[in-house]
Amino acid sequence: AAQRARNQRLPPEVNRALFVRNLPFNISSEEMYDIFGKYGPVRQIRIGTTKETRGTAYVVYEDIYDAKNACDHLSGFNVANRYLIVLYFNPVRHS
Amino acid sequence: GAVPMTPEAYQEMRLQREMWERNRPLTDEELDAMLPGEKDGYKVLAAPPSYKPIIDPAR
Repeated sequence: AAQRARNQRLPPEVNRALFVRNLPFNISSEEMYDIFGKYGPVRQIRIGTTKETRGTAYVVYEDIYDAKNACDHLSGFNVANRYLIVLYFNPVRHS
Repeated sequence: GAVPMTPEAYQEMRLQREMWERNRPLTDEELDAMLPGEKDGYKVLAAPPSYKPIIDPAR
């Protein structure tokens, strides 16, 4: 089943980059890679550092199917009594 | 010559090619162009020394 899922076409909004909100401000690199790395190899994480961006991050996976799996499973995931909001990155919205 | 494809096989090939294109490796330059950077209030979070990417052998 996993093999078949890998060849499946994914909806156009599905993206390897995820936008994550509601992260604890003091979350460590270890915790970030631990939470998101469970779903597959992480290409890069960018974390918010200013008043406006703290608590948010971009998490990019190497593989789009891993990104979909992470998005499906981590939306509403509880970290330090906060519920994560995980969305697909939308290049149009950010350009 | 090539064996003509059925419409189903053609459609399948087209979809696989689309997914392959959406899943090809990203360069650092592409990531920089795509994602907000320092001036937008984001910094790259280095992987901890303990980080070991999980490679799915079934892939």
